[in-house]
Amino acid sequence: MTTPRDRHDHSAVMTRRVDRLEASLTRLGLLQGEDLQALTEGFLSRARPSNGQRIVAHAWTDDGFRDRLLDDATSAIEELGYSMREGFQSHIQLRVVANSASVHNLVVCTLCSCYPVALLGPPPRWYKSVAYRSRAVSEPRRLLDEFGVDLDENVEVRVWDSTSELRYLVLPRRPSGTEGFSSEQLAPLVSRDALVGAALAAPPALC
Amino acid sequence: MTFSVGDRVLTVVDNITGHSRLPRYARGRRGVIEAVHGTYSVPEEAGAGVNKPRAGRVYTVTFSSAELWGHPAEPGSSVRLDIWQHQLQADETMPPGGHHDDSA
Repeated sequence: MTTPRDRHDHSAVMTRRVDRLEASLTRLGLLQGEDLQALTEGFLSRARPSNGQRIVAHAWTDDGFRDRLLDDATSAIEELGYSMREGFQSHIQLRVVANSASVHNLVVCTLCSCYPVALLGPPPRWYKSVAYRSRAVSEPRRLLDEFGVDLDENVEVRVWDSTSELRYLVLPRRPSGTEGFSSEQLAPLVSRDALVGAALAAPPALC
Repeated sequence: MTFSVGDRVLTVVDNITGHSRLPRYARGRRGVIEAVHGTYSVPEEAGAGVNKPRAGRVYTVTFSSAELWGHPAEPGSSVRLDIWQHQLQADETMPPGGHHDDSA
């Protein structure tokens, strides 16, 4: 059983590990002064969920972009000024999977918490929880139901466990009642959670 | 041996103590190649600090929930994992009924 004290101790151990690692990197001349802090802040300053919202809204309004995004997302997002190469791991690739009337996609990392951080920023806290990571693969329908994602029983659920150097992003279905909306009007309908399949894009009335 | 989309594969069963990207729930399981990707450093070597780790091709493999969890599994669901080639082998077996349960 995990107690608050266990969690505290775990955190303290990790802090010491990070301090030791940073000291070693500095001693080897790989880091200088505030480099680490600046690197982290610089990296995260451009990463936010709104990047994903913009990509989805653009795919909803431009069929050519949608096709290119589903075919090779790593290249397609560069059309909008994004790059997977800005992260600490420049070889990371992006794959976008589309929801449809018959398929719903859900993204998880059962081994740790892999997520398109360079694009969207840090993952939600629940995404890193043991409960989500185990239930997303073993009982995704029940989990989605608890998340309020109401799926018809005929809809196939595809779970993507991010176990390699690919990161996954879900292209939600465009809500009805949004005909004629611009991509600027559509972007706010896409929540951060919808970008990994843990929510549906919201109908305009709810926004 | 390389694999193509649609090929039936079986994941290896190993019990290595270090880093592996093949989760235990997917070891020794039958799936189908869904996509073929590029080559990436073999995590078991890179994670162990090997100076020049080998590169291996990565595939996305689809597993039915019944194959992963046994019956009764949630209907209409499947899990896809990205798996390095050295952890896959061709699945030559024919399961009972003469066909694989690949239905999602």
